Amino acid sequence: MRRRTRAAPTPPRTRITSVKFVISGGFGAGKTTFVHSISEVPPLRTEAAMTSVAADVDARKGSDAKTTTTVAMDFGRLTVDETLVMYLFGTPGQERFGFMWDNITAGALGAVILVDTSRLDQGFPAVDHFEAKGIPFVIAVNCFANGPHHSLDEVRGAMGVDTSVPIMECDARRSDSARDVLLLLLDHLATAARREGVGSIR
Amino acid sequence: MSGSDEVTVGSHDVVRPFVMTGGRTRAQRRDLRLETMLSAVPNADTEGLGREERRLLDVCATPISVAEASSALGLVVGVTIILAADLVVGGKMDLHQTDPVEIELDALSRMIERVRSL
Repeated sequence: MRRRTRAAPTPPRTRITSVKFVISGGFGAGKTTFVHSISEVPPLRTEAAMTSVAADVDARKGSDAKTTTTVAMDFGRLTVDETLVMYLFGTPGQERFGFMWDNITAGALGAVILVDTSRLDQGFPAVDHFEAKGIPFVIAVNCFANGPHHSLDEVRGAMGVDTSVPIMECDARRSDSARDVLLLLLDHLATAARREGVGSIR
Repeated sequence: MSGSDEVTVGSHDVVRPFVMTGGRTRAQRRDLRLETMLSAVPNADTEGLGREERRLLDVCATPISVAEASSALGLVVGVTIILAADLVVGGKMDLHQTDPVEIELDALSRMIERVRSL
């Protein structure tokens, strides 16, 4: 039995604007924990396949494109209302997956770079990436109990970002703390939007 | 010792993930991203569609993002994007276009309100 629709497809009745934020940082910096703290649903997991270029990078087997590797990404969701949804994606934490970031971060409205004070250097690739892509970001220093303490100015200096990049300390395990980081990012975006709207950049 | 963590890596035969796309690794449209919302066109003709395309239309009966659909169906994101793009071209799937540059201050304010309420 055939079912046919002759009418041209009509657009969905309610158009939903979906906005992507990226939670980035080095391996073990607390990205998944952060997503978990914010998401209204238990974080979901999805897989992206490695491209053939990447397969060359991963010399594990020395074979050609016959094998591919999949990388899992955790993401969360925050529904604002029936026409607006926020998604938070954690970037894969290892540098060798950096090639995947383009796919993950394309079109992102903003990013959080989570920094572990005992491994500051692991945040560098994220800073480079978001600066290169022109994606606004804030830095959140995830305070691990035993990590060395650095002042925010020290972290800013080590990360090589100027004072236009907001920075704060956080505890990614606490939802109120993760919330404050996300608010810092949203305020940062709103400030930039207002400035552009007024057209009065110094 | 590195922490927890969030990355798991598996190895598969490359044929397996992309067999559902007829071996294609490129989508017919380039505007599908992880967060792109998909909606199945109601009562679309599903004759001739493959099993995965039908499953995809089923989970998109209510609007859902590419990432969520991938997660629900256990599909690699790239495969979901190829199948969804085919369905869009065939008039069976709608995209809720989202261009981040069009996000307005009003939307930002609503997001801020929502996050504050956490």
